Amino acid sequence: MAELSKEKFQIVGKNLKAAQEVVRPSMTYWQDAWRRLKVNKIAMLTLSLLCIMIFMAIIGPMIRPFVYDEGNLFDANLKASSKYWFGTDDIGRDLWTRVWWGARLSLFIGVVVALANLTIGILYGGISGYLGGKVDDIMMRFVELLITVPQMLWIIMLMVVMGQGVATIMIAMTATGWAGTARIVRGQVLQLKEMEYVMAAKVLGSDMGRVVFKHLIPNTMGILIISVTFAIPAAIFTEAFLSFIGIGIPVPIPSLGSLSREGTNMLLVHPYQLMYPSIVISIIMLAFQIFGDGLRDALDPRLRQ
Amino acid sequence: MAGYVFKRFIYMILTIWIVATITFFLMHAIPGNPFVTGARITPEVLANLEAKYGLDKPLVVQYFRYMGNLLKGDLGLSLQYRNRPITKMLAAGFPASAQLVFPAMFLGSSVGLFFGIIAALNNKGFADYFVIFLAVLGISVPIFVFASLFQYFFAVHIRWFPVAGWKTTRHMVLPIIALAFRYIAYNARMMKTSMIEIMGSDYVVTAKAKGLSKPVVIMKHVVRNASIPIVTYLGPMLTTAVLGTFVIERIYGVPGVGKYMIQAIQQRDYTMILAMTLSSAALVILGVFVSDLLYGVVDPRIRVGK
Repeated sequence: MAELSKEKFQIVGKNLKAAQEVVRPSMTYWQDAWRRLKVNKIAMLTLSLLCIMIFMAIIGPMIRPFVYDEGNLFDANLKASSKYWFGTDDIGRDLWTRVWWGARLSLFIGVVVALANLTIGILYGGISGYLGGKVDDIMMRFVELLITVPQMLWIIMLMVVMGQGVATIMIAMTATGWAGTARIVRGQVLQLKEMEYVMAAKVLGSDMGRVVFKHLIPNTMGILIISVTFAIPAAIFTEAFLSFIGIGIPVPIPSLGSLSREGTNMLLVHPYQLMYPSIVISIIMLAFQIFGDGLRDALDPRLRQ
Repeated sequence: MAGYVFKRFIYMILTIWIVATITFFLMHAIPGNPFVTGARITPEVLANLEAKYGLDKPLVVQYFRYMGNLLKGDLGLSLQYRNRPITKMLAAGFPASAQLVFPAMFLGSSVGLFFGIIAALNNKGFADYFVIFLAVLGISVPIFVFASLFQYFFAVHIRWFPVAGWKTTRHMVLPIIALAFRYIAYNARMMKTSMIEIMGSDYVVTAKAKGLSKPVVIMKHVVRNASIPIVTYLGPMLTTAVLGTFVIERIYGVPGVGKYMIQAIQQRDYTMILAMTLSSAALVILGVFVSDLLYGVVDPRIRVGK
C-alpha cells in the first residue's frame, strides 16, 4: 500500500474566474434546434427539395413564353418537346406553365390557409385556455362540434353556398380548419399557465397581455411550427381533392388538383398529362411531411419516435 | 359504462341535429332562385314549382317540415332530377359504395396488421424498410393519383383487370385496393411502432422468462395488445374512406353514392349536395361513436366508469 505523505498534497487555490468561464457558446432554443436539424440528413434533403419546388413554382412559369389560360389548338395533346417541356393539354395549353402555376397556387393556398388557421387557433385556444372555467367549456364545445364532422364535408357545404373560387376556397378552409390548432394551443396554455415562471411573472405584476405574449406563446411556438408544417400539405391536399371532385378552383385557373382531374380524363390516351402534376404534388407533399418529421425531432426532442 | 354510452349517444344525436340545422340554413343562404336558371319560365310555373318544393311557406314552417321529413328518412327532392327523392337515389347507390368501403377497410386493417407484425419482427430488415417505403408513399401520394396509376398500369397496360365498371368481382379488385392502400400503409406503420413498444414492456419480459415459446409470446401477448390502437383508427378510416369513394367511384365508374355526389356537384344540384353531405356526416359521426365504444370493449384500461 502506498504511503500517504503530506508532500503529495498541495493547495492549488481556487480560481473563481475559471469556474465561471463559459466553455461552450451558449445557444438559444432556435440555434439548438437548428443544430439538431442540420445533422438530420433526410430532413435537410427534404428541405432542399422543398426549396427547389418553391423556386420552380416562382420561376417556372416565367421562363417559358406561354400563359396558363391560352392555348394553340394546332398543338393539342403534344408530348414533351423542346418547345413544350411538359407537353400540352387537350386544348393546346403549355403544361409546363400550367403545372408550375398550379404548384404556385397550391403552395400559396397551403401557406396562407395554414398561417390564417394558426392565427385564429392561437387567439381562440389561447383565450379559451387562459380564461378557463365556463368560457372554456362553451368555447370548446363549439370546437368539438366543428371537429366531429369531417372538415372536407364542412368545406363542401360552404363552397356550395359561396361558389367556386380561389378566395372562397381559402375562406372555407380557414373557417373550418382552425379548430385543431385551437385545441393544441388550449392544451398547451392550460399546462403552461400552472408553471412557476408564469406565477412569478404574475406576482411581479405582469398583466395578462404580457403573460400571454411573453411567456405562453413563445413556449408553445415549437409545437405550433410543427403543426404548421403538417397543416400546409394538409391544406394542399384538401384543395387538390376539392378541385379534383370539381368544387374547388374554377377553370381555367390551374391548380395541382384541377390539373390532375384534367389528367385523369385523358389518362387512357395521354397518360403524361396526369403524370407531371401528380409527380409535382407528390414531391411537395412528401417533402413537407418528411421535413415536418425532422423539424419535430429538432424542436421537440421528447416527441422523437 | 351504460351512462357513458347514453351520454355519448345523446351528444351524437345533438350533433347531427345541429349539423342538419346548419345544412338547412346554408341551403337558404345560396344566392339566387334555384328555378330561374337556364330556361325562361312564367311566374305561374315558378309559383307552382315553389309550392311543390314548399319554398312559398315562411322559413320557420319550412324548417320544421324539413326536420320532420328528416326524421322520416326523407331527404327531399333532387333539383336536377325532378320528382326523384334523394333518399331513393342514395339507397340505389349505397350497395355499391358499401361493397367498396367495407372490404377496403377490412383489407386495410388486416393487411396493414400483417405487414406491421412482419416489420416489427424484422426490425431494421428488408420488411421494415418496405413498410417505411409504403408509409411514405401512403402519406405523400394523393388517392386520386394512386387510383389512376393502378387503373393505367393494371387495367390498361397489362390488362389484368377491367378498366371500369361494377359487375363482377374482377371489377372490384382495383378500386378496393386503391382505396385500401393508404390504410395498409398507415396501419402497418402504426402496428410496427406499437409492437416494438410492447415487445420492450415488462409483461412480455415476464412471459419470456416463464419460458413461453416465441410464437406464443408474440401471438398471445404482443399482437393482441399492439392491435388495440388500430381500433381507434377505425373511425378516422371510415371518414376518409367515405370521402375517398367520391374520387374512386368517379375514376372507376362505380355506380355508388360518390358518383351521385360528383354528378350533383357538376350539375350544381344544391339540395342533393347538401343532403349527401348531411348523410355522410351522420354516417361518420355514427362510425366514430361505434369505434369509440369498441375501443372501450377491446381495451379494459380505458373503459370509462362514469
